Amino acid sequence: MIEDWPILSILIFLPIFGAFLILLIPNKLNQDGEILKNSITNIKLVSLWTSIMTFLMTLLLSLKFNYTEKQYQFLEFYEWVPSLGIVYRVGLDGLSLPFIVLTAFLVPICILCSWNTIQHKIKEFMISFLILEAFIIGMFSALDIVVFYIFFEAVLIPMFLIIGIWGGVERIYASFKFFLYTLLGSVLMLIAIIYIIATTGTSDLIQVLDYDFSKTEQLFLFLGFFFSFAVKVPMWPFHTWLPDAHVQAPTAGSIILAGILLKMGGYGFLRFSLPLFPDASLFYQPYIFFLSCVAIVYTSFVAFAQQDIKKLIAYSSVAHMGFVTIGIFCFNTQGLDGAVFQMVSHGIISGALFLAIGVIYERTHTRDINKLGDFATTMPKYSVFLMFFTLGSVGLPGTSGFIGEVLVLIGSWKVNPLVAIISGLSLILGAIYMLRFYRKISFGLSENQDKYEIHDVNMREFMILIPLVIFIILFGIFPNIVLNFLKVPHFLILETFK
Amino acid sequence: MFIQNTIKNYLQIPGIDGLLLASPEIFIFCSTLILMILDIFFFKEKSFKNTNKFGIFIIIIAIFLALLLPSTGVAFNGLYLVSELSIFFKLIILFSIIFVFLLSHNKADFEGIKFSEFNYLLLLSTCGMLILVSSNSFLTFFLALELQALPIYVMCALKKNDIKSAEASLKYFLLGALSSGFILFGISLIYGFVGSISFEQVSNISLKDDMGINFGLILILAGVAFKISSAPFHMWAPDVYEGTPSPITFFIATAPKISILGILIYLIYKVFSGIHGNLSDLILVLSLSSMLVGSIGAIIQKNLKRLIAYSSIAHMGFILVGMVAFSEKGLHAIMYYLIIYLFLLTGVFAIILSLQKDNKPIELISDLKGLYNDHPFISICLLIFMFSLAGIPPLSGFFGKWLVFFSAIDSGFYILAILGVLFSVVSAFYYLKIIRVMFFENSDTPLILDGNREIRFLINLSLFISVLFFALFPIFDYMILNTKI
Repeated sequence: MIEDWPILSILIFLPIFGAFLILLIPNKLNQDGEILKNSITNIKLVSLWTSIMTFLMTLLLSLKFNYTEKQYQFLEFYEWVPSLGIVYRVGLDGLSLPFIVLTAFLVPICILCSWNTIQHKIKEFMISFLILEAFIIGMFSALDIVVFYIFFEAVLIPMFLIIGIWGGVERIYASFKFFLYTLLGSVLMLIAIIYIIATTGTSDLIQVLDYDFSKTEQLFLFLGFFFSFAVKVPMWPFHTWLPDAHVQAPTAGSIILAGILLKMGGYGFLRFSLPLFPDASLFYQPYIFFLSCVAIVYTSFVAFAQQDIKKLIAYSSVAHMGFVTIGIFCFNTQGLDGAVFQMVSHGIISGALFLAIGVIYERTHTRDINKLGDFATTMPKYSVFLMFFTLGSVGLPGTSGFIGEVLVLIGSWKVNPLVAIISGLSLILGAIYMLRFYRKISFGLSENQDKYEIHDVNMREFMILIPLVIFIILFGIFPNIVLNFLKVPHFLILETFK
Repeated sequence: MFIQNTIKNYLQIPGIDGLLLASPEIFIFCSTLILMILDIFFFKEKSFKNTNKFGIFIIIIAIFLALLLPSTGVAFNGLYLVSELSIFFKLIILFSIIFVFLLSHNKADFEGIKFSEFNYLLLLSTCGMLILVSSNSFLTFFLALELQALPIYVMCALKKNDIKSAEASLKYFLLGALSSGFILFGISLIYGFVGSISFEQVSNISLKDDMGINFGLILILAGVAFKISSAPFHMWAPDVYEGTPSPITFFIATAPKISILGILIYLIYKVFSGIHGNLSDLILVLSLSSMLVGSIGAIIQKNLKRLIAYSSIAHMGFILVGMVAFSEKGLHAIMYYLIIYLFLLTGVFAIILSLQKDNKPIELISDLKGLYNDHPFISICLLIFMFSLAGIPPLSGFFGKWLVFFSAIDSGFYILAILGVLFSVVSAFYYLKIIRVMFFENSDTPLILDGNREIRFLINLSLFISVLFFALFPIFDYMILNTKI
C-alpha cells in the first residue's frame, strides 16, 4: 500500500503545494491599504504547517530507511525525454537522507524566526521559501544528472529574490554577486554534464557510474564540476560572494544559506566528483588540500578582524567548510565521515548562530561588535543559548562541532600529516575569534546599550533555540545517529578508489 | 493524404499537385486581395479591427491547409519544395503572425499604427516568408526574400509623424537593400561557377575549393546575417527596434528571422553540405561574435527595446551554435530554440504593450520601476520570462540553451560551448537588471496596466509554455524528432 506511493516525489512537491495554497489566500486590504491581519496569520500558519509536515515526512522516511541496504531506496523512475536519455529518477541513500532531514528541520525554524521580522510582502516571502525548500530537497534526492542540475540551479531564483527583496541596505549588490558568481560556476558543470551525456548516452546516474572515463577526460570533467561546487562550498578563493550575501540576506536567508546551500557543494563532491572521477580526484588532492588549508587559516584571521558579527560568522563558515573539503579528499572512512558530519553539524550551528544574531539585531538594529555588549546581564537566557552555539562552533568536546573536526583530523593525518597539523592548529584560531565574539557580546560593555529596550528571548524564540541546542549536544554525544547512515555510501565511494 | 487524393480524383487538372503543395501561400495571397476589396467597400470606420480579425482568420485557415495537406514534394519545375522541415517552419511562422495580429488588435491606435494597410502588408509579407522556406532555387529564394522584406520596410514607416520611426524605416530599408544586393551578387557568382540556380543541381555538383563559389557563399551568408541581425552585421537592429512601434518590433524580431533561418538551415544542411567545412568556420565566427556583441552590448542599454535587440542578437548567436554543430541534434536544437524563444518574446512584448506610463508606452528600463508594487502578477510573469531568457532551469529558456550546447559538444565544439555558456552568464546580468528595477526599486508615478483580452491571453500562454516546458518536453520531443532534413 503505502510502500507503493511515490513518497519521495510527494515530499519534493509538498512545499510547492503549500506555496500554491498560500497563493490562494486572498490579499484583502483594509482602508489603509494594508493586508488584513487575518490573512497574514493564515499565510504564516499555512507555511509553518507545510514545512512541519515536510519535516515529519522526512522523519518518517528516515525511520523506514534501511541503512544496511546498498541500493538506493524509495526509488522512483519515470521516462522523461527518451530521445535524449533523460529520466526522472529520484531516490535516497545514506548520504542524501541526513541533508534532507537537515533541510526540512531548518525551514520551519526559518519561517518561525521571520514571523515578526518580515514586515512587507510576507506572502511572497513564504512562497519563495517553500519553493526553495522543494528545490533543495529535489536536488538532494535527484539521481539523474540533468534533474540534479535543474534543481541545483533553480535554487538560485528564490534565493536571489530573498536576498534582493528582503535583504539589507546593500542587498542589490549582494544578490547580483551571489547570483552571477554561482551561475558562472555552475554553467561549467553544465558543459561537463552535457559531455557526460554525449559520451555515455544516458544521464541516469546509476548507469553513468558504471562508465569508466579515461584519465584525461576525468581531469577536465572534474574541473567542470569542481568550479560549481567550489563556489557553492565556498572554497578559497571563490568565497567572496559569501560574506556579502550573508550580511545582506534576512536572518532566515542567512540560516538557509549557511545551513543548506553551502552543503550543496560538499554533497556534490561526494555524489559526483569522487565516484565519477576517482583518478582525477586523486590527482587534484594536493591542490584541494592547499586551497582548504589556506581557507582555514586565512579566513580565521579575516574573521578575527571583522566588526560586523554576521560577517564574522560568514568567514568562520568558510573556515569550517575548509575542514569539509579536506575530509572529503582524504579518501578514507574517517575523513568522509568527518566531512559529512561536519556539514550536518555546521548546518545546525551556523544556522543557530545566525538565528542568535537575528535575535539581537531585532532588538538593537546593529551588528557592530563594538556597539553590542553586556547581554549576560540584560539577556541572561539568551547568553546561555549563545554560549552553547559558540562552543559548538569552537568544537568543544561534547558538542557536534568536535566530532566532525576530530574525524577530519584523524582522516587527514593518515594521508598527509602536514595538513592535519595546519588545520589542527587553526582550531585554536577558531577558538580565538569565536571566544572574542562571545566575550564582547555577553560580557563587554556596549557604548549605547541604554538606547535600546532590551528584553530577553520570548516564548517563540525560546522554542526555536531549544531544539538547536538539543541537537548540537545530542549529536556531540551520540554521533552514530548520523554516522550510521553514512557507512554504506562511504564504503561504496571508497570502493571506487581501490 | 486522404483529402489530397480525393481532391486529385475529382479535379483532374494538370499541375494540381503543385497548386496543392503551395495552397497556404496561394490562399493567403488571394484572400489578401479579396480582403483589400472588402475593406474598401464594406468596412468603413471599423476598417482596422475588421481587417485584423479577417487576417487572423486567414492565417488560421492557412495553418489548417499546411497541416491537412502534409504531403511533401517538389513543384513548379523544381522551383518549389515542401518538406517536413519547411512545414515546421511554415507553422511556426504562421503562429508568430497570429501573435502579431493579436498584439496589434487593440493596441494599434495607442501605438499610432491604426491603418488597415498594416494588416495587408503583414499578410503579404507572410506569403513571402512561406514561399521563402519552401524555395528550391535561388530564383525563388531571392524573390521570396524581397516579397518578405518590402512590406516590412513600409510597415516600419507606418507611424508617419514620428521621427524615430522614419529613421528606423530608412535604416532598415537601406541596410536591407544593401544586404539583398550582397545576396544577389553571391547568387550570380554561384550561378557563374556552377551553371545552375536550382538547389538540387548545386548540391549535386562537387564544390570543393572553388574560389568563386566560396566567395559567393560568403556574400550570401553576409546578406543573410544582415537579415537575421547576427553580429558583425547587427548594427541596424537596436535602432530599428527602438524606433518602430512595439507590435512591429515584435514582428521584425520573430517571423522574418525564423523564415530566413529556415532557408539558411536548408542551404547549409542540404545545398552546400559538400563544402560544409568552409561554411562552418564562417558561421562559427558569426555565432561567437553575436554572443559577444549581444551580451556585452546590452549591459549599458537604458532603452528597453534596445536591450531586447541586443538580447536577440545574443540569442541568434546561440541559435547559430546549433547550425555550427551540423548534425541532426543541432537541427532539432534550433527548432526547439525557435519555439521557446518565440513564446518568450511574445510574453515580453505583450507585457511591454500592456503597460503605459503618463499615457505613453513605456520605453526605458527605469519605467518599469515599482512594477511589482503596482501589478504583482504582470511583474512575476516578466520575472519568469527574464529568468527564462537567461536560461535558468527549470524554465523553458534553459532547455533551449541546453539542447543547443548539447549539439555543439556532441559534434566536438568544446571551446564554442564553453564560451557560449560564459556569455550566457554575462547576459544573465542584464536580465537581472530588469528584475531588479521591477522588484527592488520603487517609483512615485504608478504604471497603468491596460491589457485587453488578447494580450492577457498571450501573456498567459507564454507563461504556461515557459513554466511548464519541462512537462511539455516529451510532447515536443515526439513532434520534432520526426522532422528530418
